[in-house]
Amino acid sequence: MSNTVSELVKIKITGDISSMISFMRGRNAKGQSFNIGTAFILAVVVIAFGFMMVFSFGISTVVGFQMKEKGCGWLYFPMAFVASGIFSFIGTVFAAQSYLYEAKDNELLMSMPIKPADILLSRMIALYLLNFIYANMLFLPVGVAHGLLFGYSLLTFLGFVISMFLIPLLVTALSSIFGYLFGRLIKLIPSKNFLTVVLGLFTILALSFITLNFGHILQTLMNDIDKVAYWAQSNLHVLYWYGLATNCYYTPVNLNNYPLTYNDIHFNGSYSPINFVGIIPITTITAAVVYAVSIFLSRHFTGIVTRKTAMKKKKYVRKKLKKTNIQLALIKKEVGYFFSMPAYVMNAGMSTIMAVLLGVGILLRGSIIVEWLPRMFPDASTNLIGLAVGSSLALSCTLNDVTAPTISLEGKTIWILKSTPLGAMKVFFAKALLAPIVCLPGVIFTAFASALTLKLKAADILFIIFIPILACLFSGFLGVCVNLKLPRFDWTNEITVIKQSLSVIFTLLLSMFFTAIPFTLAIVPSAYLEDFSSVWAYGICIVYFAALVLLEIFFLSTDGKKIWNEL
Amino acid sequence: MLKIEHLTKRYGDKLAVDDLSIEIKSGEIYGFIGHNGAGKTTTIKCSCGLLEFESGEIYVDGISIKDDPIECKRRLSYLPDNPDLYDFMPGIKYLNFVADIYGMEVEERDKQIHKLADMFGITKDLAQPINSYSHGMKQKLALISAFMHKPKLVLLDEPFVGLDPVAAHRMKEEMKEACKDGAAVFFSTHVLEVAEKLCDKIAIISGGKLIASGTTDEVRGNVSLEEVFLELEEKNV
Repeated sequence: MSNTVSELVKIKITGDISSMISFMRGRNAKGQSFNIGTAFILAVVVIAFGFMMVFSFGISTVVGFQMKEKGCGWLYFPMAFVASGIFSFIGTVFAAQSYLYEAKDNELLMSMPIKPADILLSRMIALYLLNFIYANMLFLPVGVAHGLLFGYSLLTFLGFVISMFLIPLLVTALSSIFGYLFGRLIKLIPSKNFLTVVLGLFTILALSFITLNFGHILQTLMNDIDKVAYWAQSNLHVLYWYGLATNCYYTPVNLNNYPLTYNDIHFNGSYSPINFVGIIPITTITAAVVYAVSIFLSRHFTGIVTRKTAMKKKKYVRKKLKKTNIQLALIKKEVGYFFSMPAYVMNAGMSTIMAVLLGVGILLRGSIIVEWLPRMFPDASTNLIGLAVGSSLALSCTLNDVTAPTISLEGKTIWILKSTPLGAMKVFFAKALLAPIVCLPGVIFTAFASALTLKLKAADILFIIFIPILACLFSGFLGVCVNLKLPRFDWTNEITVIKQSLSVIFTLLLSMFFTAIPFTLAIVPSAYLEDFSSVWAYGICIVYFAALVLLEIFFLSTDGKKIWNEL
Repeated sequence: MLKIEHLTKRYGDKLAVDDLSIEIKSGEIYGFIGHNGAGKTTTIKCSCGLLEFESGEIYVDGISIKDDPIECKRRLSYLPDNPDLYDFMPGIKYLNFVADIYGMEVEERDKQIHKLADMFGITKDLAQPINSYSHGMKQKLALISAFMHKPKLVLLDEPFVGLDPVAAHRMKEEMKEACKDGAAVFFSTHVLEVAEKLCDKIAIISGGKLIASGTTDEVRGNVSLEEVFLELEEKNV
């Protein structure tokens, strides 16, 4: 690797790490670092990595044990190879586009005496390192579980180590080419925002389905693991050979008489060194894919990076302009910004999706709730359904962090709001009201679904409409308050603010915490006390949220204004 | 129209503006000259209420910017040196948004926007989103938004950067037009020839201190403004 490439890799990695840490650490309005952030980041990273590794280890142990029992241990590493590869691919495929083709310094570097192929190589190495982390977050625990279940010989251990480097290599090549194709495809489509939102929603729904049905999928897999092994053995030869090279617990009767029959599966724990040859095909294929992708992309790199798609010019037709009052104009501006960014919609609009899912669930399975709740809480003096639906909707609203990055997102355009005759409160209200605007469609849909299916009384319906609105207002104002305390204007890409800033994480956590309190206080007595009417429960929740919103408005009108003036 | 009295502004330990006083009257075009980091942008930002300052006073049309910033901002418009605008909005929506903020009537905004857009030659681009604009087009759009509500005070930071010669010429005409209507224009620039030809008055700032001010003729005397500027800078160093 040339010095230039290693230098470029170093710059990219240190830049990314310091930018991520700096963003998550947060700064207050005066630009001072927010110290609690460092410990917080470490905790989040450790928890996330730890969770994934423990999860991977648990699944590997369960599935691996079944494989061992049924004599198809050879499937263990091929399955882990595919699973880690897919996980890594999903985690980095969108990063590939920004790492490789949309890096802000691409044009600057290309104006210097550096070969385009070297720039591409440095980017791919950085992407490889990211894939290495993602893939091995799952694959490393797989290896540990393998040691405990099957044990290692020198060669199978070597096979495991080679795989650790091989998976991210293959994924890097695939995500690089997919990132390129996706970039080209999206430029051909006129309404790319809409397409991105639809694709994102589809992904979320697919992942939700998999998560909800994970137990069933796993059970089916374990029951039929021998059939899966047999099918794979007959159809996926490269993976089969790779499996033979990395696991002792299945040696075919006769490698030359392949394909074997289902009855030929043996479980004997022996391993012939010749099996290790089976790792060559998958390694060769990976090398060939990486080579082909690298050659293709390095030949076209300059063209890809500098290509500009001619936008169809919209013809200006002079129409009578409309006058709007200042508050509405500001709200329209916030809503316009929100819907102009698919990543913003996908990250912050979860509340609406959750509310709609709840509504669909109630429409489909509402009768179960009607029957189940009274049986579960026989002592309840009141109908708990209104409270249960209202609290679920309010909790779904707390997933709404849409206002948490709004101050930071002003970025370099903040001069517009600050140099024009606008009171700070007008700006704060416009930002805070974005939360109910985003949430309300889902809330209203679910309220109607509940009224239709659950046969609610008027008081219950009013509650399930008003309490989520109050919860939305609370989380909306909370986002503005937190962001005023922790603003960041030194971003170069909006996504960093929306996804990584401390303000967003804090708002989500605080919002969930404060929303859980009143429902606990209302649901527990409603469920277990005979004389506790639902009106009391509803009253507690409404007064609580109204008080919180008033407190937030008080903060904004005092400290908030001062902070805004200092920004 | 703009009265700056003993303005002092610090960034931490660094003194950015040091006891600066200037008065700009209605109908005047006032040029503000200084090297990079001299304190021009800081002074302009303090004048439009973007930055708070430690001591001194700034009055816009007789109103203190500290006491009633909103009322001051109704009377002024500001344009930064590199105007970042709302990229997601089409040009016309941005202008309409600014018109809403200043409460312009429908007929007035319609007339002003189209007059200025025609003048700067960007009418046909008004339906395009701002993220498709070049730097110069963004500058023109920002200039339209600065002039369209007929402010009494126009504060411009390096307004000629990125403008083509035709647009620069038209902007000078618009500045003169605004002054004829009783407005005051205060702008910073590095282009000494422009300042020399366009301004009624000039102030030179160095290291945060005002080192010369007065009518253009008074400041330059018998030599060119460039010679005066270089000589004063040398003395100050």
